This record gives sequence, C-alpha cells and structure tokens, in this order.
Amino acid sequence: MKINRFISALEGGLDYFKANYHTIDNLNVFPVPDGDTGVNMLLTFQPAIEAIHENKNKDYESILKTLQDVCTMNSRGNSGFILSRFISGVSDVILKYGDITPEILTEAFFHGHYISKTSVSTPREGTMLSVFEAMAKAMKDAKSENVLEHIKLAIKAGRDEVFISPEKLPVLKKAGVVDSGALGFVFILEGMKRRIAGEEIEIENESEYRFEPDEEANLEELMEISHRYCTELTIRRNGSEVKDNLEEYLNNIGDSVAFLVNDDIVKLHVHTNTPDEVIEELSIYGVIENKKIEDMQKQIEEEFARFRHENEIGVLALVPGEGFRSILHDFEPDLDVLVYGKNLPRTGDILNHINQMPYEVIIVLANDKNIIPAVQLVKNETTKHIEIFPSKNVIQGVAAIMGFVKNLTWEENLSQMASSMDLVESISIYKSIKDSKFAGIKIPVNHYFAVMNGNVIAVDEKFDPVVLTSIRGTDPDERMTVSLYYNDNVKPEDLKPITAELEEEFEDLEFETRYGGQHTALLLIGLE
Amino acid sequence: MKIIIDSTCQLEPERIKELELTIIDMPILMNGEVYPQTWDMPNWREEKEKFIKLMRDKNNKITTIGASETQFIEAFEKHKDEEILLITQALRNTKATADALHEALKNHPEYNVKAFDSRSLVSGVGVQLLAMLNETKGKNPTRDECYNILEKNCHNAHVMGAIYDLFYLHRGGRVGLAQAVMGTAIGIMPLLSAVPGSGEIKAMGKARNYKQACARFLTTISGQMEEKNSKKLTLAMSYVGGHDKECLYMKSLLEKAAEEKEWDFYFELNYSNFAHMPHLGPDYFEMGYVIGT
Repeated sequence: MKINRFISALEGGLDYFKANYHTIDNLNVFPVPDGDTGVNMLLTFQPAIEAIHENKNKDYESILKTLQDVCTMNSRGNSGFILSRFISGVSDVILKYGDITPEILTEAFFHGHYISKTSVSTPREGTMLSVFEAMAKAMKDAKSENVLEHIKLAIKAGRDEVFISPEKLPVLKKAGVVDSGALGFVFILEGMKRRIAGEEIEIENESEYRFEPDEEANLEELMEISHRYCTELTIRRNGSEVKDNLEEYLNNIGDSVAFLVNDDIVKLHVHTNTPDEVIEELSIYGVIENKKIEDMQKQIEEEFARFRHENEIGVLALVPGEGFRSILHDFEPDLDVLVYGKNLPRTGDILNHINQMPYEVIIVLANDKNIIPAVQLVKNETTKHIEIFPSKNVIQGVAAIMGFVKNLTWEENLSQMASSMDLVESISIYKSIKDSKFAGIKIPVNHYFAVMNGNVIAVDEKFDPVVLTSIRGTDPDERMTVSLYYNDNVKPEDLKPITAELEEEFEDLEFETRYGGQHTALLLIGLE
Repeated sequence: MKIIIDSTCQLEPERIKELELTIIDMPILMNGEVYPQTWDMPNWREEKEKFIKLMRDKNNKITTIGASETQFIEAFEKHKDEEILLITQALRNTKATADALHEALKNHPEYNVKAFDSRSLVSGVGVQLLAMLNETKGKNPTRDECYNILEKNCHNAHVMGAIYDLFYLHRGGRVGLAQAVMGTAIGIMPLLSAVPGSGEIKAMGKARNYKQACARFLTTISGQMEEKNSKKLTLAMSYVGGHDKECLYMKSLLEKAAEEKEWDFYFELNYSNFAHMPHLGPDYFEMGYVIGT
C-alpha cells in the first residue's frame, strides 16, 4: 500500500470517528460510566493525524513514528491508553517491513494486540482488546487479495465481537449496551476502509448498539475470576528451540495468553493460578530478565468497590487517637479514619489511604491545622477530587461529620458540615512538663491548664478545677451535650465527680465520657 | 369562597374552626383496622397522647391510607353552592389520594372546585395557607387571586424537621432516606428537609441534641432569607408528645434573629395531626415556612 493511501486511510478513520464519537460517549459504562470514552479516543488519535498532516516527510518510517509518538503522548483515559498501545504495536511491525500487505497487517494486529494487552494490569474480555484479537484471528485465516479486503474481514470480525461484548462483561449487560471502546476502534477501522474504498461517512445509529438491560446481570461475576495471577515474563533466549506446544501448555494452565517469540527473546503474558510453575517451565529457554506477578482478584475487588461508590462521596478523617475511630463510626459508619499518634501523619500515608478508598470524590477532615499542608500536597499528587475540610481539631471534626450525608453533593456536604462545625466549642486540657508561658499566661511545671480558641482559660495544680472552671466559662446554659474524650493518662472514673458536680449545677446538660486516645491533650472537651 | 384542606395541614382544631376550614380526614389503619380519629374529636390532645402510646409499641402496625373519592365528594357537596378552593398535598405525595381526587373532580364537574397542589408536606402545606391568609387579610380576594398567591408562594415553601426514631420512616418505605441519616450513636437526631416545589425529602445530617438541631435550622433559614434577599418569614411548627419545648426554643432563636435582622416574622405552633404520626413516629418536631411574598 502506498504511503499516501495509508495516510488518507488514517484521515478517513479520524473523520469517521469524529462524526460518531458522541455515540461512543453515550455507550460508555465500563470501566467507569463517565461518558468520555469517545472524547478520550478522539483526543488520543486526532493530534497524531494532525501531526502526520503537517509532517513534510511522507514515508512510512516518519509517518509511523509520528503516529506512535503523538498517540502515546496524547493518550487519555483507559480507552485512549489501550488504543495508543495498539497503534504503537501495529506501527512496530509495519516499520519493520516498510509496507502494508495483508500478511503484514495480520502480523501487525497480532503484535498490536499483544502490546496493548500486556500494557494493562487487568486485561478484560469484552473490551477493545477482544476486538483486536478477533480481528487478528479473522485476518490470520483469510486469503485476502488486497489490504481493503483484509480490513473488511477485520471489521466484520470486530463488529461480531462488539455484539458479544455484553456476554463477557456483565456490567454492559446490566446497562444494555455494547462496549464503547471496542466499538470505537471498529469505527476508526470502518472510516479507514471507507476512505480506501471511496465510500461516504455515515452517522451510526446508536440504538443498534443498545438492547434491553438485563437487571439480573450479576456484577459479582467479574469478581469470580478463574485465574488469579497476571504473570508476565521476558526471557533472553539461550538458543533452546521453543516447543510447538508452548501455547497449548499456557492455555491449559491459564488464560488471556499472549506471547511473542523472536530470535532474542520470549515475551509472555498469562493469567494463571500457578505463576511459579510457569516461570519454571519457561526458564528452560533462557535467563528471565523481567517478571511481574500481580494479584488480579485484589485489583478487581478494588475496581468494583470504586464502581459501586462512584456516585458517593467518601470522607477521610485524620484523628489523633484510636478511640476516635469508633466515636466517628458511631455517627457515620462508612467514614474512613486514619489514626496517627505522637507524630503527625506523613503525606505518603495519607496519599496511600486516599488512593485505596473506593471513592473518586473525598472530603478530608484534617482536624489539625498543621496537617493541612500535607493534605494539600496529597491533593496535588492524586487524580481523585479532594476537598479539604478545615477542621482545626478533632472535636470540630466530630461535629462536622454530623452534617455529612453521603448521597448529597460535595458542595452541599461542605456547607452542611461547616454549619455543624460552627455549633461546637472545644477545650483541650494539658499538663505542663516545665515552667512555661502560653499566650501570656504563666504555667508552672506539673500544673494543668485548659486551652480554648488559642487562649489559656484555666490553670491549676489540680486536674478537676481546671476542667470545671473551663466548662463553667463557656456558657453551659446554652449547651446540651458535653463530650469528654480522655487519653491513656486519665481514668474514666476520675471524670465522674466532675460530671456529677456539673450535672447538679446545669440541669439540661448531658455528659458523654469516651476514650479518645489522643497523645498530647489529657482531655478534649466538646461543648454542643 | 370555601377553603377545603386535608388533615395533613398540621393545624389544631381551634385554629381550623377559627379559619372556617373544611377538613378531609386522612384515614389511619392500625393492625389492619381503621383507627377511629377525626380532626375535631373531643379531647383531641388526650386522644393523640393515647395514639402515641400505641405507636411506641412497635408491634402495632400503623399506617395511612388515601382519602376516598366519597370523602372528597361529601366535602364538595357541603359547599355545592360555593366556589371551592381545595388545598392538598395529595396531588404529589399520596397516589391513592391523588387518584381519588382526580376521579372526584372528573366525575363531578357540577362542583365549582379549583384544586391547589401544595407540592409540600407536613407543616409546609398549612403554612402556605397561612401565608396566603396573611397576605389577603383585610382584603376581599377572589378565588383566583388566592390561588395565584398560593402558586407564587409554593416555590418558596420549605420544610425542615427532626425525627428522633428512624424506625417509622424505615417501615414506611423511606429506607434510603433513613439510611442516609443513620448512625448508631445513642441520642442522635436525624435532620430532614423537603425541597420546595417538589416535596422531595432530603437528609440534612444529624444533631446531637435539639438545641443543635434548632441552631442548624436557623442557620439554614437565615441563609435562605439572605439568598432571597427577603425580610418576610411566615413559619408554622408542629410537634408531638412533649416536644413542644423544642419548638419554643426554635421560636426563641427565630425571634432573636428576626429582631437582629429586622424580619417581618409570623409564627404559629400547632400539635401535629394524626395523619403524619404513622410515618414520622411518636417523637418529632417540624416546621414549614414561606420566605418572602
């Protein structure tokens, strides 16, 4: 095939896709139903074609390298990434031969399939990957006279594969759609074919790719995988002949098999329950240069957890003691809690926790103004939408969580949480370890002192008077609930005389005494 | 003109008589039998306390059923020679009642009825009537003028409340809503609101105690008043059992805010009608309010 015809075909693929990418967006439910598969594929493919158009060198090497590089640089989303890897793999083979014939195209599609499949951590049947494979297999068995005939066969096999995608991906069945990415690639190839054949662009009918949703489709099916470990090996060959039955062996011990054999290396991808056995079997061919074994069950569970919670908002509360975990869970059972002790949490710990949460939008209650910079850093490091809630201490955090409702928007939640937080006053009781001065007030060593809003409001050598004075000073008649959160240095029975005295004094006041486990303050007091 | 309203309006018998309203009683079933109650039953306060005690026994299965076509026709018949303005929440919130009303209106064009859908619930229904009556006080409005005022106010009619026990909400089928505000802490108080213009109930979060709940409600009202750039607030509260203290506390907060912010503030407090108790339980207080006009 002449290079100009190839370029024209690529442009035809883009034009056809541009005319139909909204359909792809509308059908998008997997892996995340965010309606952007079409846009992602377009933004991956279009810049490459534009770059080719501007490229003065119209030879295969120059054009294919541009195609590879620009697609890779611009790949967006899962679908864009897979498409770019496939294009890269196909280009490798065409570059090797410097031409396109039916045979070269077949080899290119097999290689493109391998590269794309081995580039994703959890390759899924029923997606674009299955279409690449189906097209490659259809071309392999064909005796096409020319490239156009070959592409027509590939498109037919691709469309057939698209229509059985819901059988392979229950989430599609449940939504009553075919896989959008898989169809997107068929559209690109359809456009290439039409340009070569001199046919017009057609607007595809979206309803042809929709069917009655199956309410009974079991999303859990995907979680029940038969081969758990994604195993990838690259073996530098030692000269041993590769057995003819290698593929058969791999298909017996696993699935999703993809392998590449050339004079120098054997590159393998397989899903299996016995990765050690695979390594042993393949090691006869040479030295293992690279190996990667991943637990897909875990990955799938994480992905589905994310899918389930897609429209919900997560909350992560950073708390200074283990006791606050159960305190917060009493108010909001689905809350995520990261407990830290003497030292404030590290950015990495917060980032890891956030990345493991099955939510895309997360409100983080810093509960300490010194933690906010770390959360700010995390916000910049993660792809998730993070909203930092400016609670200055854990008492404010506990109050704020009363305003949280998981099926509201994050904006509504931030507003409600702020009005809840405004209804609490907090006091911290400490013991001085040396003579000191705090906010202008002298605090002798071993004296107890109470801090509220950055001011010392009581100092005494005894614990009880400090607690009593500080609470009495906060207009208790206007309050109803006083929460006392003690740490390891305070016994709950020590607090009973204090609460008894205050209960007698303020009839409407109710006291709640709970273990907070915070490191520094002996007692944290919330007044609501 | 005669105003007919159903018993979800959250107005006490004396107030209903004073306003010369005709009431359609919403029936209640207890363990499959129709529970004997009417809006004007003698000793209504004691009767409601008795009903609350029965509700506290969660083995008693108490629910509501829709008003019948006959009830509507009987009410229309009473005022067959008058223009009738019917105020109801039935057109949106209870399908059975809506169906019965539609049938009554369709099959009996001889009655001169104009029906207003309050698109609200609990005190949100009654307060729309009160706001309209306040606005037309001393005037002699036509039915259409009254109807137009109701339509205008409807989109500014809000509802908020605190329910102490989610069991009834859950049993009444509002499972998602109950779950949204569920917590396991003792004494937690779920806060709910209804969207103006649709009556859809939404969770507002929780409160630790009624003072906190009232403070949240006040913050919300103040924000809405500011947003609407309004100084006029018509608010009606209702309660069950001994929860009038919560309403009086709320009233004190509102009065303070009204003084500070120079609101034209109208307040009314009523004991809840039977019709809402099966869904909200034996412990709640709620308010309906109209901003502006």
